[in-house]
Amino acid sequence: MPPPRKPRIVLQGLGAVLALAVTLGAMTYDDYRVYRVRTGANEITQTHVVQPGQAITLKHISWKASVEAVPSLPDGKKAGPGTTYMKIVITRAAADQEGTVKTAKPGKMRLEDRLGRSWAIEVGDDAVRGDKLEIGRPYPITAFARVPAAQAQEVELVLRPSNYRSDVPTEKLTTTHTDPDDVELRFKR
Amino acid sequence: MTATQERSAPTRRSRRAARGRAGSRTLSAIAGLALVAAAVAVQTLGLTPNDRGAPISTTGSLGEDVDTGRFTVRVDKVAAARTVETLSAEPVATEQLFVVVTASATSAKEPLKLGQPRLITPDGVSYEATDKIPATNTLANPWVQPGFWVSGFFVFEVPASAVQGSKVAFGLPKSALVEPFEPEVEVDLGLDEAKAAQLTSAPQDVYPLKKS
Repeated sequence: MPPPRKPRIVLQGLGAVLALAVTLGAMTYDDYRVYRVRTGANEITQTHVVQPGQAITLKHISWKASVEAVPSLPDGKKAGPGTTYMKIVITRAAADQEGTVKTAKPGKMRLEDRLGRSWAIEVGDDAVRGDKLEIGRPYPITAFARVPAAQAQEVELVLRPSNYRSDVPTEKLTTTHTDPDDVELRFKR
Repeated sequence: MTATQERSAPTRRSRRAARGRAGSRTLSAIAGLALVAAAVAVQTLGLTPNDRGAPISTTGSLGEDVDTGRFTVRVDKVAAARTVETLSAEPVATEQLFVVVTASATSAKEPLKLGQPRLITPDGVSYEATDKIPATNTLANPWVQPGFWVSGFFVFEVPASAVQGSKVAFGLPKSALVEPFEPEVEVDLGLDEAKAAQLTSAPQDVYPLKKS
């Protein structure tokens, strides 16, 4: 008795189509995930909005910031046509004993306009020396950015505090559980 | 029962059938081998993961704003030189030819940096930008940001024969985690026979990398 041929061919065909769909689907999903990770879209973020001139205390650190347009960089360099240099001062202070080891600069700093476009910030100086903060003492970070002149009055500072702790020994860096890196601060102007 | 009877008392017809079966078995084996060989051959045509996720190029020509959606690049000028003077006024020489590409770039939404570009000849040979010139002297150094253009240089060290018909591909910097289908700008430098000959026969003695 020859096997019934037709139904099997249909079944095999369906199987092939399904296998192709699953393969292409899996590859596309993987590509999309890599894209999300690479562009930072995958980060879990809780945004805290800080009103102008106000400070916010978060995870043992008190944060304050100012953003202003400046005519030139400290070395006298002027911004190109249609653009403005911005001076950013971010002041952080340890709010308690736990905060004294949070010495690292913010992991990510950007200036953002209302449309969501963003500009890079380059740190000029960080007042933190060594690996310990004094409780209550303000440590300013002085940084600069270049933005289009039209956006100079509206750009807001967005920063992501680092979860680095200076009291974790190097050999335990990969095994120590630190705070999750999931908070962003947005300073209103 | 019928089968055993056939085997115990083979007739002329069933013997011929047996011979036919053996023949078809050989044929099937050959067909099977051929299929296996074909499958192996087809495998070699398969794309590597890198090829499969290769950048998506937006093409354009000299002097044109080429927009990938994430960033825009424009090639302003192409020059050739024997010696390039770096920003720290240090001369760097070559026995081949330096192709100096002046380009401008801007970004759509986020600050980003360009990677070192590649120069691609019509036969598909590609050259990385030279590492004789420090990357800090090139357009890979400044932030490329929304709302304004930044300009700078990229320098290639190539044999004179690579100049004619060449294109330059600009992309993002290399990273450990390779994003599939990255944006890329491919600019045809517009070097036909006459222009290529002009560049290669009379390169500048010294090309200073200075902002104009």
